[in-house]
Amino acid sequence: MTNPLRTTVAIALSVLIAGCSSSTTVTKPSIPAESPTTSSNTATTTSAPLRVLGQVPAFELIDQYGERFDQWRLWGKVWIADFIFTRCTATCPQQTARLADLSRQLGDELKADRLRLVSFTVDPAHDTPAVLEAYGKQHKADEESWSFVTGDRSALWSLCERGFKLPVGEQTENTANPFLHSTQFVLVDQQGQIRGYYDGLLAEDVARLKKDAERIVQELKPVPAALFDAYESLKQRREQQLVQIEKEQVFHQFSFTDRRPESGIRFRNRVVSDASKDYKATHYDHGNGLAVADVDGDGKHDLYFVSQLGGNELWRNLGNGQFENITEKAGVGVPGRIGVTASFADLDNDGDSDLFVTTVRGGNLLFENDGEGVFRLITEAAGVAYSGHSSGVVCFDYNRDGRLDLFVCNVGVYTTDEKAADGSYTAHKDAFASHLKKERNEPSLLYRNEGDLRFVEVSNEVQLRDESWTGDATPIDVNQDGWLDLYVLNMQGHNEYYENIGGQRFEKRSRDVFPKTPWGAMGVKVFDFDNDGQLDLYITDMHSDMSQEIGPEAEHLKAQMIWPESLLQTNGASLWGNALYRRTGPSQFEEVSDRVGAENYWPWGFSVGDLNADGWDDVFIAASMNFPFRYGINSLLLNQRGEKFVAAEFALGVEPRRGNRTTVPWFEVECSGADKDHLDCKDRKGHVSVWSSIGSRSSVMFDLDGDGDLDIVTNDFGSEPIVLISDLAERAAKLNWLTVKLVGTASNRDGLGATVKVTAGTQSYLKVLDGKSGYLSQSVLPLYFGLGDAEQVDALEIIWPSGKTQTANGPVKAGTALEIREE
Amino acid sequence: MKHRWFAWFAVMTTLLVVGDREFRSEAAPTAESFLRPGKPLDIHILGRDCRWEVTYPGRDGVLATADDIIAGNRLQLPAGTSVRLHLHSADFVYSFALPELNLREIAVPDMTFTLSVSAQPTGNLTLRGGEMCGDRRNELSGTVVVSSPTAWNTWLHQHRNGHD
Repeated sequence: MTNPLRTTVAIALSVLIAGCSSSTTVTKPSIPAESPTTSSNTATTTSAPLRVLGQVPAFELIDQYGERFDQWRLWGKVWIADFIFTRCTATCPQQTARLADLSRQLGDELKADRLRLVSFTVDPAHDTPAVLEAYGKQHKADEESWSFVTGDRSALWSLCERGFKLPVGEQTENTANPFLHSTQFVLVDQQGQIRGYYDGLLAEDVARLKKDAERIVQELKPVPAALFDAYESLKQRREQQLVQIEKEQVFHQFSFTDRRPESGIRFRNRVVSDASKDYKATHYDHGNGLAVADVDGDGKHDLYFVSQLGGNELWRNLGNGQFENITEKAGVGVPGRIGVTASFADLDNDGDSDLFVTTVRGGNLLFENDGEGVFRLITEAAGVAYSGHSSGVVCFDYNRDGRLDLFVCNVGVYTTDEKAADGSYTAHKDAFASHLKKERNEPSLLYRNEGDLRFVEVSNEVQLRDESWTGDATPIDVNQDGWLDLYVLNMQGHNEYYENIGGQRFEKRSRDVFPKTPWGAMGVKVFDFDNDGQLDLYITDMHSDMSQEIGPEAEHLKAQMIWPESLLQTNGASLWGNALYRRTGPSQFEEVSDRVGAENYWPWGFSVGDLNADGWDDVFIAASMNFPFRYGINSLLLNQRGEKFVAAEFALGVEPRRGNRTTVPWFEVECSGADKDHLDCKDRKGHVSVWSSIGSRSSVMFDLDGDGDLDIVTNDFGSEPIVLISDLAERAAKLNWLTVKLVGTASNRDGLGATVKVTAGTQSYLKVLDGKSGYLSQSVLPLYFGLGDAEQVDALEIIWPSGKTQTANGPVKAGTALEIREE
Repeated sequence: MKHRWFAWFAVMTTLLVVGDREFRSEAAPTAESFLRPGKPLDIHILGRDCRWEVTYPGRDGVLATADDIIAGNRLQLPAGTSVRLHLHSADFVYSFALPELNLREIAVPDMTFTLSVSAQPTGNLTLRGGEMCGDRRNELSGTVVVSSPTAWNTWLHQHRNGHD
């Protein structure tokens, strides 16, 4: 019996390798069954969506103008690729003529920049940019929409063979046509996916290609329509910022590059249908956190990404900016649950980082680390089992018994009991007004650590009854009595402050100390903004930014709140944006966010660290709301000597993003089938791919590659992370820094809650080790002190959670990684 | 000069007569008014599936009774009359705003929020509505017609009788 598939493959192969010559010496790569099958079996147009036949890999080449040409130049466009060489006298002239003909037929799509043509040479030694430019002109190729691409031969051939699965080879005996290549035209979609192969020499194939290309172009659904124009406004903003920052004194002569592709990290955050296809305004769109710890004790910090769908992933740091996925071995994947965030901390004081993971109604999870990066699930035995709408988990020692307790923030009941196809509980349609409905309140939980990884829920016992719609909280010693108080964010209303009364109970003193708080609080961090030796409190506010659409010119202003009091419920005692509470004394703060430029647009969480190592802590704020709103930039605020923040995201290469991306594929709908009534199917047929603005949610800041400067990694919502590698270490004439890792003995082993004061010359720097590394998450990282020009540290003072004060005299040379044990 | 005065008087009379006729033609089919003297007019506005459904009280002047008049998504207000808009939702959270009057409210399932309005003069007002923080492509925005109480009365009568 004949295998029909094999027959099809064989037929198609003969089509694919008909190149410039009929020589049989061609290299035949393994061709997946799907591509040739499609090539031969889709000769008639059907209403079925064009299948995805593969992904074009990343490439870095140059075009006919000598400019860099990579896959991002084509991101968001449909494109047709072929392989040629200009000396070719056999098939290439025909291929190019056909493509030129096709370009006239598809002129509207090309003019609208929805479609591009790309001809790759297989003969780069001859086909220099200048040769290709002349070749393009000879064939009257439109210079905007038709690229002729050359570069490194091995890169070109690899792209041809491994990327496009098309053969390429040499036939040295044939001096007129020394190369053999395919005559196939390849249709690639907006996401770099191969959607069809067509023989460039066959008129009927080219006619089919035209139809398919038009169809794929239709799949592109910019929502809103202006989505794809965002980059144009970013270019302008970049120019403005580059001019502005030169007027500032803050050190900014360094930059970041997104090296996610090179890092090996292949994690992609996946979102539930409520936050995509179902258009719900619900708390699912708050996304996920990520946390960092050296899980296997090898001295390098590993990344744990959380996702709503598809499970979480743990990526081991291999050094030199490289990572490998060790999720399975570590046992922390938790597929099948809707993840929210994670916190690392040493909960049993055994010297390794344990992991607490929260989910939406899939049960929270506590993992014990065996010290080598293999985790054991101990939730039930530990007494922390809870299934609800949990979010950030704050590990801190509220009663100063040397063990880290847990404050689990619960947002509130924003879901119904119905389940979506993806397994998530669907949200209430009126989820955004849930804070008005007392029955949906979900109290947060305080667990006291009893030792041996046993916890007891003590919220009532210590009178910590918080029903805020909270995603996160932070320990902070507001009254400076040595007992860590708790500041609880509320994403829809007043933030709350609970004073710790001797580790015995908590007393709510919210409005006494903080009369006005951000209405829609998302991120929080305690740090000394102005190096006055007093710890300040910074909070980002996302929800207030939703009340009105604004342009970039208003992004650094507080929102013009237009929602009525019936929704707000705070009697006007709210800030409509970020807050920076500058401490002026015990339980005394002044709110200075506008004065110092701490406002930004659509923020989620943020990370704090001295990015330019000048001694003043800077801020990276993960921002943007995704679908269906406009693109919002991530903010990078450089701290200018505690006087103000200087916006520097464009100047430092954080914006625009790699490849100028502002959009991401968001969901798919079948407009001729199951989804015909979907909002995005109006006036559309067939398979439609709906795109969204891209947006980050969380970040961490740490020295990822061990070169002495701080790098940044994000967890983007519904997309891949950004891995921003700093070149400060290479660029700065002198890079002076000190890291401090604490090892508690009487105090908790991680030293969480300790403050460290470093003195270098006449300048002192105060930091608190609280683990708060970014949105909703806690990490185990050393404190990083940038020292500016100081080449040594003269003294350190550590105040441990146990109450002990420990001093260490220098000098300690800059560039030292200190480990200090509690004595 | 006398001639002039006469001509002016004639024009004015004609206008008045025409005006009176217009008035009568509006008022004639409505023997009774839907407005209760000295009492505010209650209008129920329900957000459902990204549309407004507006319900007016019938002859009894009271909402949630058998003679309520459901007027689709048409919101029309009698000028100079004290009106209470009772906002509800059957599904999502909706915003409801009359920017010219600087009034904003929300509609939430299982809850009622009330906006007090007294619109003057007659004309059109902008209605800005939306699903709060969610889908923006909806039919929740449009125009609110403010008509004279008489015209409003006529319109509602017509609406009750199946006309638009």
